[in-house]
Amino acid sequence: MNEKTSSLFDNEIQSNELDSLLSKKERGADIREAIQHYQTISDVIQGKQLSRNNLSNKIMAAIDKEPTQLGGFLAAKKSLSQQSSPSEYWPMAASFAALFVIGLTVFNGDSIKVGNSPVLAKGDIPEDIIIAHHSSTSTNMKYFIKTKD
Amino acid sequence: MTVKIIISFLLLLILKPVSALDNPWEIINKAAEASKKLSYKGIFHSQHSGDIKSIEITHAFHGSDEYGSDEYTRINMLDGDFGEVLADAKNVVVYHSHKNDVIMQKRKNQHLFPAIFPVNPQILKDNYELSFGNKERVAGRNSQIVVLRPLDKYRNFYHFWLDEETSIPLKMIVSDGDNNIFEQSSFTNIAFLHSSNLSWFKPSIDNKKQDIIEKKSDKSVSHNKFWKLKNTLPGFKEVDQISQRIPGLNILSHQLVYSDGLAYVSLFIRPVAKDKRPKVGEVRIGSTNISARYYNGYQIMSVGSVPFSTVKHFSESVEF
Repeated sequence: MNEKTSSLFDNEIQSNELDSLLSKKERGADIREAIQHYQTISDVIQGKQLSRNNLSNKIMAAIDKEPTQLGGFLAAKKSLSQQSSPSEYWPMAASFAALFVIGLTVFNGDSIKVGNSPVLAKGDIPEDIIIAHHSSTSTNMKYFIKTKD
Repeated sequence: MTVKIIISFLLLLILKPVSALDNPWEIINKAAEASKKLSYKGIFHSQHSGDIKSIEITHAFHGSDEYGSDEYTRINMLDGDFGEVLADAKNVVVYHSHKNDVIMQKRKNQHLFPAIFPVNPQILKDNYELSFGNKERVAGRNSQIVVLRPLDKYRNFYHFWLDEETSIPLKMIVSDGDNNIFEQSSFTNIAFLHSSNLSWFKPSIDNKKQDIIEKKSDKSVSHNKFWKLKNTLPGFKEVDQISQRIPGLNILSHQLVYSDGLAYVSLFIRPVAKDKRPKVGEVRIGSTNISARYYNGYQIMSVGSVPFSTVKHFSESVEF
């Protein structure tokens, strides 16, 4: 998750992964914190001023507008616009930048890259989806008979 | 020289394109009609995802009667757990074992082998190319191989062995373009019935030893279609829609079924619960491909024994 958040701010993430990332906001406090950290690190590395990244604002706005899975998230949130001064983040940014570089060294950098069609595991698909499909469409009698509603 | 000319002429005859023949699709019409209007009893092997089952089928055609039913079918699973289907033109009832009991469920009618063709086989013309193969024996009968090759990347290949005498499908193989087989059904024996006796049309359950539990469905059709597909694939039409209330929530889950006459795709539109993480990506389970997408608080999943490009297209087409 942290790798995806990091790649998001490095503009390496794909659009469909963005949906997935946003959907994981039920762990809102953690994610928001991670997003802020990686935003800071990214800006430091790329030499940008902290308040000029429109992408982060768009992401935060998208999270705030999200209609589902808001439980426990709103209370923890802080808007990026409420940050007082960019200079206050330099010590923290330097720390996280160091950790980020170490992280990149320790973990396989390729794992940050996300393909257009991430592969799900069989266990990710609810069994009732497969059953409902076969009970409605199967030309194979084995499934037609075995399936249960 | 004369021999060469004769051989060239024969080669030209053999390689004559199917499209140039007089209505080659007529053989599919005959096959569709034969599977419905003939009375027969046989056993076939059905293979799906590496699992093979033996199945007995008895089918009778009686013309129209006062109830409007003209076809009667009984299907029995001969391997593994008990399973049976009794179907007439309007009703399909499935019986399957559950511990010591038998569960009875009503189902919608489906295109089960050998009656796998759509009511109007002509709809296949726009998306499949028909060609004739060799002649082979299946279940002791002579058959003609007919192949339906997809005209785009969204469908599979269908190979049929059609009985030379009656045109009924004796064997069917579904594969991709690389000849990877996903599904096959093949008669090992078949006999044609001439008796109008329907005494066999009853469940083979011992009421004294087994309890029959009817499992009623809570499925319905939603009239509130808040979604639309921004583009559908050629030939695929919506053939069914099933809505089901999610237990404990006043929210409906929707399943839309699309078919081009041979292939079927289910498109699920379900709200994502607060404590659930939506799925995004693709996976293959057996011969079934699944494409999952998260959109506006809903989990979109399309499922089907079709190429990945097809399920992906459907899941990405939903918008609301």
